[in-house]
Amino acid sequence: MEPQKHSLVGRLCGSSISHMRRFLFDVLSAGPIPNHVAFILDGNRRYARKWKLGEGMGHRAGFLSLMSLIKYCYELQIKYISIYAFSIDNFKRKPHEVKCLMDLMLEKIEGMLKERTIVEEYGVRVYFIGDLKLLDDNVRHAAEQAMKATAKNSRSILLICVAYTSTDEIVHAAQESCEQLCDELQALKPSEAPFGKISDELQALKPSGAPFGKISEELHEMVHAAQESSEQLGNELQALKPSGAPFGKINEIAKEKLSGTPFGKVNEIAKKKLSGAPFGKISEIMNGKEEEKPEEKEQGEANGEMQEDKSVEKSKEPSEEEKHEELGKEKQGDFPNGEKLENASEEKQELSNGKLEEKSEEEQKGFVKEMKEVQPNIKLSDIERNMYMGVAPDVDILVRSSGETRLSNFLLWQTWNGLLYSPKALWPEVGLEHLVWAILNFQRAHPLFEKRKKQF
Amino acid sequence: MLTMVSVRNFLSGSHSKLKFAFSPKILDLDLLNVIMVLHQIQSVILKYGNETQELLKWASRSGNLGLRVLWLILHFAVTIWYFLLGVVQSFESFLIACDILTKYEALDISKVRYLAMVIDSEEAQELSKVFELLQWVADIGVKSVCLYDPEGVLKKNKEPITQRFSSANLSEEAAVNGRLVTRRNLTLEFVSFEDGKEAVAKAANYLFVKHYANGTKEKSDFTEPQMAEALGAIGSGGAEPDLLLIYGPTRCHLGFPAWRLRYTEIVHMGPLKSMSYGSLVKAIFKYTMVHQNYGS
Repeated sequence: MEPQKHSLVGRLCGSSISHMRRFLFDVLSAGPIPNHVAFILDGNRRYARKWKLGEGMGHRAGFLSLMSLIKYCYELQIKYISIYAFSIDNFKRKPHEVKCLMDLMLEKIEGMLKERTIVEEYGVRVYFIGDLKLLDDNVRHAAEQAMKATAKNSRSILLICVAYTSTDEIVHAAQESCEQLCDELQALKPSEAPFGKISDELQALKPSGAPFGKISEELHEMVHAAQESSEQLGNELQALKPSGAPFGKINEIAKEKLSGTPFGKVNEIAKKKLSGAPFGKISEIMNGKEEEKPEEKEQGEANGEMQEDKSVEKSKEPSEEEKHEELGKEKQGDFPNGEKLENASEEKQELSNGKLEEKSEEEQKGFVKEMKEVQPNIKLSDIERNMYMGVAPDVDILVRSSGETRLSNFLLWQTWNGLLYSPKALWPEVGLEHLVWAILNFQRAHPLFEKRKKQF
Repeated sequence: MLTMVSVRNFLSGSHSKLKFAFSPKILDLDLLNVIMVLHQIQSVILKYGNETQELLKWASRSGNLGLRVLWLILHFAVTIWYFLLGVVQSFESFLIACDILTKYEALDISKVRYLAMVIDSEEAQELSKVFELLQWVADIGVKSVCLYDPEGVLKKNKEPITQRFSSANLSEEAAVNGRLVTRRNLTLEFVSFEDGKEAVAKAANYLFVKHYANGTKEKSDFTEPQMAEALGAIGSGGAEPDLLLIYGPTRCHLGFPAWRLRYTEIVHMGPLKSMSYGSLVKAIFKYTMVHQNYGS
């Protein structure tokens, strides 16, 4: 009978306390309730030293107080809660202490995945914020699982910051914005897409042999034709009808592209491989190009240029064809001859390479200039979108325990319009009264925060 | 009533169809009676339902009202608490200013290398107060100060402020607390909201041009020193302050550049209109006594 009575009394007390608490929360809810509250869990080690607990016990005590605070926050219907669990600076601590914390985190994440009581009751979605690559594999894996498992919930959101510092977040956001801008620009420029295709085509062409220097200009034209075809018809070099306007531009861009790496690569490949088959293809392509040319000439700009090229090509073509066939024959023949030819072609290639290199440098500079002229327009909204904390709104209250008044690289960006509160209690000692006091102060300052939010 | 009529019509209409063993007329009458009774019950329920609904509404409104009243009482209590706190603090700063509390004399100002002050923009319009505050800061011995206000009011008034505090003669000396204190020049920096978030966007653009100019990404990711350099290059660089004093109604850093706020101690001094020399000395003194952990 006794124990039952005890538990009955205990339960009555407990339920009356919780009823009083609910009543208090109802009173507080008559005023504005913060949307996002952040906690810096500072003072666990000092608490352990103060009460002479073992090492690591301070963190467990801190975890208990964290759970109860989260419960209170959800009863008050505070939607976003962030906690600063582990900073990148904390990695500098003693290794076994870091390991202890990591083990605790792993244990708690796995526990949460198994039990899911608070998670299910309040519909909590968990995010792990920070540079997760710095964590051990098992912790990271558990974190990702937890994020996936709770992804469907949306009533309240818990953001656990591990391996996080605000400066790292800002740098990461800038990095992501730059990457996105780079991708956007590449998508806009049509010539950049078939870059690999051009090099493939050039490989297929394999322009090796004596008249390299002379062919280079023709190759520009050929590649430009190849590029057009690859853009529109895939790999078939059929008669195309490129519209007049982008003609000159593609020509230009093709020239720039040629000055880049693949051309040099092709040179190498050309040096290495001297097989007969591609020459036939070259002549074929050149024939095909000849057919194309009149059509293009009809439409495009740079008519004068075109005519010149065409005539030059026409005059060169038979001789080149001849030469290619010659080379092919010679290659099939004596090896020494082939070698000699190779050397000769190498010399010519070097000369032409020199010319090309000059040209390529100029053109590269032009390309760089073009990129710079593009005027990167990364906006503040892009940066904010790419922040780790972009999933949550700005912080309304930041609570740092143990009386420290600095932010220690936590949410420096998001607390611009938030109340900073530093109770002197160590983290395991932080309880309901501190939360209530923070909310009361927030409610006092709320009109000013609203005004400032509208301003900026 | 409409439904009654339609039901009766229906019944009379289907009267012809009801060819059962028993008398159709009696059946008709019974059915009608039942329906009338049901209808009456329905109207009674609706009437009371409406009333109960209204009662509940009234109860919740008055409950809400009651909660609201309690809330106001709670906040009134908080306001009284702050009032009392303010009285105690003014008394304390009065004592400090009159040198009665002597422990604040042992102020080691060299620990404060860079002091930052966040001033609420509306209060910053009163330049006389700002001058007075800066004078106290200079008297204490701080050498460089960063002034921040979100709207840039102090930035606009850069001229008069810098004139006042850069042209002070080095040879002018003032006897303070029995010690000879040379009034030094104050190095002032003026910062506003744009030097925080907007500057990071501009720095990202700068880094883009620098590292992505070839159209492809260079091998490594951005690092923090690179970002710091970029911020410096666009004119929003600056040292990280050791101590940040907030002169405003709320304990909020109002958007001070995030990059520089990493390990800065933040102290709320109250509104500018209630500033006092004593509280300033106390805050700086407390800072110099603090032992920093830095995470490790």
